[in-house]
Amino acid sequence: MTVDELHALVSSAIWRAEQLDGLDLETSTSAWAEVSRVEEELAKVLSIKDAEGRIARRGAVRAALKAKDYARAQDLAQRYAGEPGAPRTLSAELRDMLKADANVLSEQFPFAARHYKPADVQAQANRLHQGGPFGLAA
Amino acid sequence: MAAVMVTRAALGLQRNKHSSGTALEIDIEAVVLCFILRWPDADPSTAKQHDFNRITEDGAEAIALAVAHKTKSWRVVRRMQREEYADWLLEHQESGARRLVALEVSGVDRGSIAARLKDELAQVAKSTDVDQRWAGVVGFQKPKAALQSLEVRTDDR
Repeated sequence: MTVDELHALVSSAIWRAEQLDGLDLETSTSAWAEVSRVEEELAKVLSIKDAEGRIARRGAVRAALKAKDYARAQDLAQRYAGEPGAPRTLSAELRDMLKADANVLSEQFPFAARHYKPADVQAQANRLHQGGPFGLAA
Repeated sequence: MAAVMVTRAALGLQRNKHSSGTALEIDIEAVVLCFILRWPDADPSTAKQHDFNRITEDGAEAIALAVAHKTKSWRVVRRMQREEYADWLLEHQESGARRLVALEVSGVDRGSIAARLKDELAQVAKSTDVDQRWAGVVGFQKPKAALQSLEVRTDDR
C-alpha cells in the first residue's frame, strides 16, 4: 500500500472515529483501534526524521489510548522512543501522553488510585495481555 | 468521507436559503475575492439524519479545503487527530521544496466569523512539525470563507 493510500485510510478512520465519539457510541473504541493500526502502518513506512512520520507515531500511541488499549500504547511508545534518531521532543510527547492518560485513570477511579499506581495497573494489564487467560499463553 | 462532507456543506448552505451558484466571499490574509460556489443539491429531508453541528463543521471543512486548493493550490495529505491542533495536513511546493501546512477549520452557521478566526488561530498555533500554520472559518449565513496564516496578526487587520 502506498503512503497516499495509507493517508487516505487514516483520514477516513479518524473522521469515522470522531463521528462515533460525537454520538457517544461505544463502538468508537474499536474505531480508534483501527486508527492506531493505520497510523502504525504509516509509521513503518515514514521515517521518524520526517514530520509526517512523527505525526503518525504520535497518532498511533494516542489512538491506542483512545481505544483503551494501554498495553499497546505503552509498547508503541517504547518502540518509537527507542528508534534510532528519535528526537527528544517526540519521546517526551509520547511519555506525556501516557502520563496524561494515567492521570485520567486516577481521576476516574479515585479509590483504586489510593491503593495502586496507574503504572502498576497498566503493568498488570500488560502481563495479562501477554499471558492470556490463566497465563496459558505465557 | 468526502461525499458526506460535500453533502453537509450543501445542507449548511441550503438551510441558510442559498442555492448552487451563490457568491462566496473569500478573505485570504485581508485580500478579498469573490467566487461562485456550485454544489450538487442535497435533499433537505435528509438533514435530520445529520447532527446540526456536524453539518456546520464538516460543511465548513469541505468549503475551506476547496478554497485552499483553488486559491493556494494546496493538496490534502491527511486528516489529523484533534490533539495535533489542526484538522488537516496539506502540502504545496514553494521554490521547489515541499512545504507542510496545518489547517484548522471551523464553521459558523449564523453570525460573524471574525471572533472564531482568532480562536482557531490560537488553536493552530500549538501545532508542531509543520512549515506553516493556518486557520480557516466558513460562515454559512452570508457565504464567506476566511483563511489566515499565523504570521499575520488579526489585530493588524
